[in-house]
Amino acid sequence: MSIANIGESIRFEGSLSGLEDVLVDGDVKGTIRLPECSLTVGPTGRIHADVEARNLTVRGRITGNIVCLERMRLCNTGSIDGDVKTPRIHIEDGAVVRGRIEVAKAPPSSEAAPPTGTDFPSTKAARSPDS
Amino acid sequence: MLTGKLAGQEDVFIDGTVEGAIELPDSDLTIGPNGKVKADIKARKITVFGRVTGKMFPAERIEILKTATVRGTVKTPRIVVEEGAVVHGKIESLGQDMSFPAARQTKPLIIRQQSRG
Repeated sequence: MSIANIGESIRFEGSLSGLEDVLVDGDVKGTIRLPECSLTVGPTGRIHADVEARNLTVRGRITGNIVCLERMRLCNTGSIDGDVKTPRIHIEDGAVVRGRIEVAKAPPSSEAAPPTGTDFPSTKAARSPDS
Repeated sequence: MLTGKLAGQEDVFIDGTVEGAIELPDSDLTIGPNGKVKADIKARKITVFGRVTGKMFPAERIEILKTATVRGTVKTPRIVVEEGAVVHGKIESLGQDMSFPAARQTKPLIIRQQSRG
């Protein structure tokens, strides 16, 4: 699967969603919805957004509420300020956490994971212009 | 089962049921896999294999292992959570680097579960 990369110099504001894994090294403000995919926030990544992702790896900073559908990893350089809902979480020594953490077994994914047919309606994914 | 306030200056290992308050400001507390603790806890370091409900204030760090269930509030300089652990509550961890002298090698006080038939 391809990975969309939001580079270090990119600043994005709006709603980010899609069917690709995303790596954020820049700044993202708004909302991020990747219920089928993985989101990685690199060490320089800064996110001010409510985040929904299947898998989430945080090496940078997230400010906002997080819903993770599978597993979440907060690395030692990572920092989160907001509430977290996830079935599995791993927090490394050194990570900064401020907020509520709810570890709940796989949430009923009725609206969280929409049925994905082959013809996904016009992906309104915002990507870094690097095609 | 122990109900009341537990305070002291030595490391404590709890593998039974304790309710009340635990104050070990200069010592380490370990809650074993059979440990069930409902208490507000002050300790230097808290390690959890079992179940804890309450407010936790480790002076140095808390480690929540994969077998653990933690409910309540945690305010700590450093935190480690292993994948598989169940956590419900408010966490405030600054991830600060705190250099403490190496842990002393003393035998902990052990509180075990009482076998009742």
